[in-house]
Amino acid sequence: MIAWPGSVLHHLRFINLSFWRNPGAAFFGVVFPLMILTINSLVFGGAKIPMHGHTVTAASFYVAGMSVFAVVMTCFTNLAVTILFDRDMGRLKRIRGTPTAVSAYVTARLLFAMAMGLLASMLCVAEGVAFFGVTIALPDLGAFVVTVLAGSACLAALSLAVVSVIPNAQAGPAMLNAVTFPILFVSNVFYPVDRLPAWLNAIANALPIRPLATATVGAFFGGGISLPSLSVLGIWGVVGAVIAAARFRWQPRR
Amino acid sequence: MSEAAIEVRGLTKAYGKVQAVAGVDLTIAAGEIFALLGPNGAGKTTTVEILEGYIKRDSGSVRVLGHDPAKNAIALKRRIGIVAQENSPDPFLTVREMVRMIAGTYPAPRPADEVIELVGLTDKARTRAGRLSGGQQRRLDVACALVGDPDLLFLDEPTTGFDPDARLEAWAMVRGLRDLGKTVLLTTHYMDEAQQLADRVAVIASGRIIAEGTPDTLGGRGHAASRIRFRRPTGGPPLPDTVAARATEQEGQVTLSIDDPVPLLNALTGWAIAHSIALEGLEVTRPSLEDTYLALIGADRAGGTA
Repeated sequence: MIAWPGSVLHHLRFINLSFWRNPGAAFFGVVFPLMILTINSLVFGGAKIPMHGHTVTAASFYVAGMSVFAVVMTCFTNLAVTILFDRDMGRLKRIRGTPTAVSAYVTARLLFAMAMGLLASMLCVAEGVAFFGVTIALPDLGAFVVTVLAGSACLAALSLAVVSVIPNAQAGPAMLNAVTFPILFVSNVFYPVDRLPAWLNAIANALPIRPLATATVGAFFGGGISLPSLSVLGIWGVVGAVIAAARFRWQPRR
Repeated sequence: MSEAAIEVRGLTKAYGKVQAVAGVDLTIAAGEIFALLGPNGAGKTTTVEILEGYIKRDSGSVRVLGHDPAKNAIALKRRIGIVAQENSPDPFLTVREMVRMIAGTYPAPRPADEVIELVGLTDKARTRAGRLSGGQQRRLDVACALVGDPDLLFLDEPTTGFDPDARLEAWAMVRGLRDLGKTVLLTTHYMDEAQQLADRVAVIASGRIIAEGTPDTLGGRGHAASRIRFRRPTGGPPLPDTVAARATEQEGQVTLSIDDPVPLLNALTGWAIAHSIALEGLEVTRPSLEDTYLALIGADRAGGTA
């Protein structure tokens, strides 16, 4: 009898091995947000912008924004794309043909995506601190980590839900980007967004990325943990988990 | 050897209005290599995937190694190995890592290197699975299916897409499984594969088993008529009466069908020697498994589409 936590760890080990050898996964999840952070900070980093009552550098805003972007890329887009390929290629089916408990395998996939989300966001912070004069107080970093992990869990659950409506791996990246990028552009991620039409503002606040960005930026600049924003993430996370539990497929549609 | 590894009664499964499996009965003894034959869409894969626990049946009873796959999935999966169709390995893991990944899910796996050697991939153990040829990937699939030391193996079209060499190798490997005492349920649409490997075969068509037996006796093949064929030189002497009575002749090609060919061959060869005729192209054949299979499938299509 293999204990459940041991089974989770076993699969985490091989998911990790495979991830770092997969250039697409490692690049888009971890390197790409750092690249955009670098370019944005080099071009606009010195500008001053008002934030929560005081003035901050644009570079420190980008650190928070790109952390959210990294979480979306690793926990939503990248998790979905790898699952779609694994489903199409019969790899999920193979796992399901072994004595692995379904819950242990899904937990391993979720935990790994969350770990990569946290890692990518920490690398953004480290880059900002090391190269662009960004500072963050230790208690704020704690709130930031909690917020990033909550966002990672929510987006990973939504990712497992969304793969059930994507027909195959070929369609995956296009459909996923068509969902995420319009939302990212109205969500305080690439630049501060404060003059949206009211209706668009309402939509953005009801979707998960804007509340995550609001909470992450808030935590970064001393606002602590934003419970209203995390509640929105919690609701989306539960919706994602319920859809995933009901609709997740282990092999391609025949 | 008396305990059945697989016992299926009245199995049905429909997808919408399509009745994929329409009442299958099947008994497979422990230690047996059993081949399930049938055209695409006949219900082969659906039947096998119900036995493997991948899909739920609509009705009927199923026991696989004493378990109901719909209820005791994990307990059953500890004792089975699966080589599914379209089952590519993680391209970024090496052969050894891939086998270890699967091994770690079983309670008492065999050593990874031992299984890798068994399928002949020892010199590829450190090669990433994405760089293996199609035949090598299939052997890796078999290694993954064997590493849990299962009692029962499901091989779903294991040699589709293989070149003739790779197929011979794969067959040798499956015979090796018999020597290990494993029960094997094989699906294939290659009749030579079933003839070579299987102790028993069943033909499934339109979701039902339409014939079952050993490869040599399936569908009455064991006592089916032999066919004699040869060429008769134009303008030669007439055939002996016993031969002529049964023969059909077309452009010098004589064909006849008879249950007991020996007396007739005696008459034929005596006639040929007496007239110094070479009997070009003489052959005596029994219907091949493929002939039998095609006749069974043809009869099913003719009768079953009403």
